[in-house]
Amino acid sequence: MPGMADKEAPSSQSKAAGPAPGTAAKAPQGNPIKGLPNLRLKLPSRNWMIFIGIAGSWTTALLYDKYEKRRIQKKWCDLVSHIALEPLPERAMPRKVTIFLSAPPGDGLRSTRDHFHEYVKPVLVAAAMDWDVVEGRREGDVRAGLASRLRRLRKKNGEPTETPLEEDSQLAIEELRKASGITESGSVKGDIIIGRSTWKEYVRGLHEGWLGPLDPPASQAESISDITGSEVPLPSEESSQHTPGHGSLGDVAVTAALSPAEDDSGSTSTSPGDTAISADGASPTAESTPAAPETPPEAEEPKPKKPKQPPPFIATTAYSGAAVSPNIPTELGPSTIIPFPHILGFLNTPIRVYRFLTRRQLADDIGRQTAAAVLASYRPFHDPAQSLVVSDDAQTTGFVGEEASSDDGSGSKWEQQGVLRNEEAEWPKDVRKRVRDGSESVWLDEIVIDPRIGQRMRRFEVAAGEEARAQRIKEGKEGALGQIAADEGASSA
Amino acid sequence: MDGLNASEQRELAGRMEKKQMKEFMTMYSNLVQRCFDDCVTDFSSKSLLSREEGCVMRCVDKFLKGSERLGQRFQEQNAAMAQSGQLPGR
Repeated sequence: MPGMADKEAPSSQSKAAGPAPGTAAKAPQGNPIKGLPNLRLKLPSRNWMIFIGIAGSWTTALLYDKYEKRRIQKKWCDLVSHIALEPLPERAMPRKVTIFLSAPPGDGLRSTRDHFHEYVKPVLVAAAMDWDVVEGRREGDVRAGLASRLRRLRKKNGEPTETPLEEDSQLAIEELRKASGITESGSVKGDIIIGRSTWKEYVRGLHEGWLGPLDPPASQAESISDITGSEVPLPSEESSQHTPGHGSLGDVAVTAALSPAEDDSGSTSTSPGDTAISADGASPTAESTPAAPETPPEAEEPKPKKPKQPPPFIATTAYSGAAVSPNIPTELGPSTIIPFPHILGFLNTPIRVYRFLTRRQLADDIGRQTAAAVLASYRPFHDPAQSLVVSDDAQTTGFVGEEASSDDGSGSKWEQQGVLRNEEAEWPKDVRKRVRDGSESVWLDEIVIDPRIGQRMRRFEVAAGEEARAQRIKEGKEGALGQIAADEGASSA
Repeated sequence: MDGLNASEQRELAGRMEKKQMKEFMTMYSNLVQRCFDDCVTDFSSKSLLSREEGCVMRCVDKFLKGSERLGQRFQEQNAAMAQSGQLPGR
């Protein structure tokens, strides 16, 4: 710049003779323009550099991750958004998926809900899907809820039972719909399950619903009426302690049931009116007294009790002997399992920080699974009866667990058992301490799969063509169906 | 309807019919208002442009379908309320 100023000065001198209104902006005659003040460029001090380095790298990582996560979510949303544009006849209900949410071991339901809202819901909303939620606060709530739904379905289809279906508003709505000729659109419903603990409960509930009896075993009914006042404190209220043996009367009843006299307790079979309550949504009667588990039984007090969780109607050991319901469809509703990484603990903070800065990958995985559910492309689970399964899990997510190994005849390794197995390692240690009274714990036991159910289960998975299309959408080469691509300006296929 | 004799029943039927007619006319005028406001915006010509015509047809269609759907859901909720004996809600 000093060089240029020197060139300007002679020209201004030469023009200075004539009237030159434009030279008012130039330097006064004769003075070469040195221009800039005396700047000496130097780096900030060492301490400042450290600060700027740390703060800058943190901020960059965070902003980049947020930006990428938003783009990735938009990619998956655009992949499915054409479904929202499809016209729906006025006598048809939109397709409904069922979401299974449950509080992870050691934490409350809110974290799962937030996870759902952040990762799964955008894709569902982009495709204008309707959904239905089964929530669970305690261990086993989702299992009980799902099992009671399946039992209700079976009873509606006319299976003989001692506890007939009680008339309730849900039934009234369904009958009205059938009478008016309102159909469900879409033959494929689906289930979306969030987290491994919920998945275990889901599989258990599925087996219990289809293989178990429709009526509760008689021994349960009387133990329910005995022990009432001991409420189970909500997991969020207490310290993260897995105390199934204490407050949950379900396990007490299960031990009673598993003890030798399972069938012939022969006492009054009070109808468990609680089966219907199980776990759908937040219950307003959950004003629980934060009771210590050892409150004396207060059976006489008519205070609003929290709905009891009915224990499993059938034990896992009894699966092979049980008759499967005749109403079972050939393919059980396809399901997809959403990873839910959840780790607690102060010393785990570096891991959590790392996960916080790499949420885009999680968004990609979850978006893929949810898009598969929305697009209704599914495949059977790999089961050990098939020989040498070709692994097409490699193209989906790293979270999908082992596929069936070539089997040694015992049929032990199903794909359902291995899904998201690494999440179990993250559960708090207190949860993994097993209560010693031999009761069943859905979370801690290995998944037991009956082949009749396992072979009917299906899993949502994105077809390879859709995956490639999603990639093209992300790169901007293609737009959502029915809309114009952002960059090219050419209408897409 | 049991406690009413014949003339009262006739009166009731007449009133119900008047009410329904009124509702129908209200719906009609809402429809016309809404569709005209939303579709016909250009008054530089006094005849309906073809796009306005298309818009109006679609507007009527959607309005009626929408109100049919709403009516179905309302009916269902009514039945549910009657069944459970109270307002739905948590």
